[in-house]
Amino acid sequence: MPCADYWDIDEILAEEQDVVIKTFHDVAGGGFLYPCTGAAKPRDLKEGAKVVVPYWLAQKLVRRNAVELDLPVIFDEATQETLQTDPAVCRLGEKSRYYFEVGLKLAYLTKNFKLQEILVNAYIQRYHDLMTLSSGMGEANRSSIRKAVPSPSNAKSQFLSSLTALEEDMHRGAREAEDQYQRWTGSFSCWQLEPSHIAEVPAFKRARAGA
Amino acid sequence: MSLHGRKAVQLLQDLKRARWLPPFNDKVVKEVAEEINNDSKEMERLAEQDSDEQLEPELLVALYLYDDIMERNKRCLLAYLNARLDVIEQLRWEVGRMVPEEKLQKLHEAEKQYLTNYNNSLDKYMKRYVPNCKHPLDLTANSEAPEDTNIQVRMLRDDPQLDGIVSNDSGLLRLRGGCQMMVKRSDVEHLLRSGKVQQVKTCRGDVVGGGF
Repeated sequence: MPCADYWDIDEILAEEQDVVIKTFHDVAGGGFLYPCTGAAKPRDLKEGAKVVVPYWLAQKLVRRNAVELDLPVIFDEATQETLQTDPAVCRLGEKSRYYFEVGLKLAYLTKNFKLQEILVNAYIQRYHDLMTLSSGMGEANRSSIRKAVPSPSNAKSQFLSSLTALEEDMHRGAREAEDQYQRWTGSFSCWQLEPSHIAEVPAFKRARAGA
Repeated sequence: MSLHGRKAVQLLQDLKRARWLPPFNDKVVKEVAEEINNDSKEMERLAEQDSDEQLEPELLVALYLYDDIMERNKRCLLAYLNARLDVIEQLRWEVGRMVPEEKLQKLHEAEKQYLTNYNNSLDKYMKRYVPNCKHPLDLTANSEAPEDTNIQVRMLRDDPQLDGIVSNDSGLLRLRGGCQMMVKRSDVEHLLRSGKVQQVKTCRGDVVGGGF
């Protein structure tokens, strides 16, 4: 069961994701769930009506066997396939700020083990790519994304602009760790005298020195 | 879905967007509390309709619905208040008792009272952590052992409040904007924490022989 923290604000915000539910019975006084506005709203919700509600409400009603849940569009078959083949390409941050959290909750609720697996693998793959891009411990960045795509800066900035909230936190943490590391290595250095560029060794002297 | 249950989320979104804390949103908090009350009355009304012991499924699901919405509003409100209090408690550990005025303005009266009570409890604990202790233990001080007793600091801006502090050990200290001086660490620790002075890092190459 994905961990449920009552106090965690990110989790509360993640559960705001809209999903479609279908009721099994009439609901007295449930008419306010209909999307239409104005005085024409009926007082009661009819059996079999499909309405859009936030995930937190759907979760409670599904657990009590009162409604049936449909997966939202952002987790449809096409997206699942792309996640399996190349997760870094998917612009998950635009679909939902809390894509993985909501996805795993939905997968658990609807007992969709395939979705669970796809999401977890995609998350791990994106994490690898993110870490390779953002930190190099002082070395030159080596990234599989850069090798594959001819314009490296474009791919990197595209990937970095499509992160979910959790991945953005990780990216910020990695950059901070890199900063701290540079600061630490910098504290060992002391001021060095640069060799003068005027004093050039002439070619014949170099040859004699090497021979 | 209508605005039912969405107002409380606004509070949390404001909290996430703010750099430190947003000003206490009294209006929305009261509106959410009123929503909870209205839902509770609606539930009572629905339950009164059916006097049989066995509730119809429609009524049962309706009661579930209203109960879930009430629980959600309650959770959002409580999370909002709790997160704010956590941040306020950190104030004491970060800047000590010198809280900047603009931060205090964002707090509700009850939150300011909470901060005072928290400070008092902490002080009480620090004075009596062991029976018959002679000196209070300052838990909010830096937990790392310092390398030198004296450090170089630079004053970032001219501050009339700080011009001429009297310290216990070194007498009068004149701190002016842009001024760099070597002072005892214990005198300026609270100023470093509140960001009024900046520690200047000395290069180890200054030491003759490279420090060896």
